[in-house]
Amino acid sequence: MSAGTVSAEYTDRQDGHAVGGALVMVAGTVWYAFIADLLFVSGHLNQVLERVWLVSEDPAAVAGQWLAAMLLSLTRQVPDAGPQTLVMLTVLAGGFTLGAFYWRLRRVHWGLLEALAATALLALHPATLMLATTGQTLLLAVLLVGVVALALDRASTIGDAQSLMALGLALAALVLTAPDALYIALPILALLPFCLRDVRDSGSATALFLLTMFPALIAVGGILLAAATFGEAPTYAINRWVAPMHGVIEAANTPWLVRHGGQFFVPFLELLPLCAVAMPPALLPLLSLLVRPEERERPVTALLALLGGPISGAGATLFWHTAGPLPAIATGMAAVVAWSSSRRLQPAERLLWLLWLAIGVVLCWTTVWVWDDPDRLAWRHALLHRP
Amino acid sequence: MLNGPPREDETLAHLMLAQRLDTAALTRARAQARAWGMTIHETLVADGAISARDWAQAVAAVSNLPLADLQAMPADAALLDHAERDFYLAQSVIPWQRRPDGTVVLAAVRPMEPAVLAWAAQRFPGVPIAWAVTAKFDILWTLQLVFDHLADLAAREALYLRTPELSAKQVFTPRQVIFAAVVASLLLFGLWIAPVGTLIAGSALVTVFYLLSFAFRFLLTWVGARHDVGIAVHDHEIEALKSEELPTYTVLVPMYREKEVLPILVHSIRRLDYPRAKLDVKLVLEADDEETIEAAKALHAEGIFEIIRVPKSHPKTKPKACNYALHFARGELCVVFDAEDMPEPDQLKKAVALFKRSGPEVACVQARLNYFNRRENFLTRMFTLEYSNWFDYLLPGLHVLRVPIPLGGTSNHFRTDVLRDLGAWDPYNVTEDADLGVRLTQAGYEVAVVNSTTFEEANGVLPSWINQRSRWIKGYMQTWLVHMRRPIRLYRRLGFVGFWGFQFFVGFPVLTAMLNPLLWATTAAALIWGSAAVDRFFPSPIIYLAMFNLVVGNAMYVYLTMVAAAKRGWFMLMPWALLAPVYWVLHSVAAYKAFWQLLLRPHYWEKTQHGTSSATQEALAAIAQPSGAR
Repeated sequence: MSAGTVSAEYTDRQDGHAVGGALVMVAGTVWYAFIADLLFVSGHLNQVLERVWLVSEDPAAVAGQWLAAMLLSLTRQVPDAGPQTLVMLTVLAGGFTLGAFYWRLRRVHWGLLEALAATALLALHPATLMLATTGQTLLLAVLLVGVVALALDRASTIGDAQSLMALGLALAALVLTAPDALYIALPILALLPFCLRDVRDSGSATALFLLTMFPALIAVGGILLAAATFGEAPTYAINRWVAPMHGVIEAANTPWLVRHGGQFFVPFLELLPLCAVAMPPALLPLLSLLVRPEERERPVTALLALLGGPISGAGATLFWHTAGPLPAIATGMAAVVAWSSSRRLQPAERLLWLLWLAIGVVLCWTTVWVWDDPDRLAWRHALLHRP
Repeated sequence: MLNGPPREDETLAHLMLAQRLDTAALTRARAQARAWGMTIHETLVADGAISARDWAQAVAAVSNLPLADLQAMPADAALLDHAERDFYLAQSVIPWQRRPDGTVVLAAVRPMEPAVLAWAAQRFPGVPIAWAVTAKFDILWTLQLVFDHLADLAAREALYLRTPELSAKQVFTPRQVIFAAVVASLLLFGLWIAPVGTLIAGSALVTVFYLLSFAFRFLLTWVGARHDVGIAVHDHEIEALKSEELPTYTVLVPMYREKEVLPILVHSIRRLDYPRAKLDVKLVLEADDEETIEAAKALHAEGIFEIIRVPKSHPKTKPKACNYALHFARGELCVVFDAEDMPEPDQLKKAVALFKRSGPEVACVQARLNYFNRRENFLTRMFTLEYSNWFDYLLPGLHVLRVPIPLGGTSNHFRTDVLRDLGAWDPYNVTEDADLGVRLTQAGYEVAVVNSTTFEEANGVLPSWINQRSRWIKGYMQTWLVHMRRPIRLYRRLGFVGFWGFQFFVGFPVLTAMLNPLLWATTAAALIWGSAAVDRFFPSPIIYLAMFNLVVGNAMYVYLTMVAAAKRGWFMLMPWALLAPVYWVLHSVAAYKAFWQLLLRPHYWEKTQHGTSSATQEALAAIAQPSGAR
């Protein structure tokens, strides 16, 4: 078979995956829209959406989550837009994510049915359902965690200039989207010099560190300068980052913070199994680290999938900056999804992946710990108990 | 009477008996000739074991033919026909003299060659033919002498006479002048009638234009930053090339008053991994540059080096010199190097492999350029970052996006026939390579970028840097003006992406360099007198974009400069990228000088002085050392 034929077949296959991804995206969007509709009918969403919608009117809340605020502000410019528009956006983003996930799985040689099953399980997961149907900006941050994980993986394996740029830009976008992203960005940055391919000495480490950090510095610098130009004090720009509870002080009495606020190790040890139960395929990176030398050689993405969620959640809990475990679980899930879609898993591993995720979905829907928060409980109630 | 071409073995035996050739050189030459598919004679001359004159003398001796010293006894110009010039050059033969009895004497490097015999029978029917032996340099010298005027005229005017609309000889067309006058009048009228509204429209236009320029530059860098974009030719492809199938390669090296870097050039050519007998190196020197001509002669370099003297005429530019030298090129492929260039040894083979792999639409291969003296001072560091960005990211990005590639000043490899068909370089354009890149694309050809680097000397002296940069910017202005004479035709030929890519890559950077001081002044005014001073001209939607350009756009340009060093792992250069804004100021100075020159001296060539760098001096010292001492 000639190289040309192989190339043509490869292109055809890629095109097929792209079409499949688009179809999954449409199906995913319809699915999330259906769930959102159920929630609307129950009346549960109105109050939640109203709260998010009004956030962009509060400068103190806006500071620190610039990207999300900018998107909110743009959404508000759309004629006849209202709080419900937010759901439409998250539903679309959720559908897009499912399509992209399917497409990436197919690119790393998952079979059609395997990829469809994996995507369907992800779509059924309460965490993704909640993120996609409640119109919250957390979805954007979670998606960006996935993008950061993919960029980090590419930077550590291929290490070309484009991957470094992608990592730098993704980190900048993440930090500007959610103040709590600091707790995932900082561990990544600390590990960065050890995971990039071209790091040979302290000089190259510093240079690559600078390359990855610079976009975030530009973004923050730009915000500071813009604030100064419009007569605002520089602290305005970092208000949200330095504020107690990152500006959501009303969440201080959540059960999670009452139990763990101000601590790191206890919530970390609690989040570790929680993340694993919510997304059991997180154990596959651990297995891969144990048995595959190439994974141990570039361990950063696997470690992120395994520990990213618990570390970020525990860090945020230490500084009273998170209301509950959901952001940490979602962060961990995003990292696991990114890792899974960038590795060529063996058929047995793929089967294990599907089985474990199915168990995770069942556990999440049935066990108590996910539903110990009044908001989440209300969401489930609205979904499962029709008026 | 000679019955056939002189036998090579007899000539070799004669040379050995005369002790002009030793056994080791002959053994080496035999092996090389076999491997390269060349004659032993060509290999010996290329190797420097004997001179072309030595060979001619030996051939004359063994064949009992007279030796024609064409410099002492020049050819009869009446016998030479300009239409046959290429044949003379290819076959190394010329009609030399007509004897009183009517016999025509042909002076040839290889007498009695069948192809020459056939030609002679047709060219001089019924006329007795006699033979003399000469050396290839005598033929070259004669052709230059006899056809000097015509070759010079062709070098200067061929493109203009054939396609005047593609020549920069005329700087502005009447239509362009009228258009500029209309735009200027409208602007003045607007400022008179509604000054604030006009300035707001202007600021909006400039803001959007800067935003798009930044977006385009970012896109190019992003695309060019992929690890697999830059790799064009792999080692196994080079290994698969058969020496005997490699084409003859013409290397043009235009020089002017650069005798000091000649040893670097010869050294670099010798280092090339290419059958030496298949190299056709032309040292293209201006006829009035006696000191470089004498220095080149004094090198006593191998027979592959030929001196081409370019007649003194206007314009005195590098493209004119290259056009003139191209008349004498024998290679299927040709490349232009500057005198101080140090191409990577595998560059010619990589270009051959790339041409071989590509279709006939790829007419040119651009090698990457970078600097060997990057750590010398601020200017050389910034220049290196700029070149790294340009050749390692932007040009591959242009190639992927199918935007015309403005060729860099040197290390452009061409299919010689295509180059000739296109009319070669525009002698009136001071960035003739950039212009040629666009012309190639317009003619339906492609330019590829190869993963081989030529190291040059970065200009580290400020006045010289300004001169060089002003020439480049002036050349970009000329190129833009030439190709925008018929914008609709350009759009049809380049397509949407190609057309706008041309605007953003060739036209707009020049404009930004000129507009920057104005915007810096506006920013300074806002900082000194408060934002109220400029608020009126930047209403709400525009100010946000302007702020974005000012902060994020500029900082991202710095970032892209920083990224430039990543591909080559030159991490120590990265912090210098923070000083890029200082470098932009120098660009603006050069841009205004360029504009001034475009109006007053459009075809003047600002000569760049080479050999000033300490790294160059060190390289020269290293080359001058005997090999055993190194």
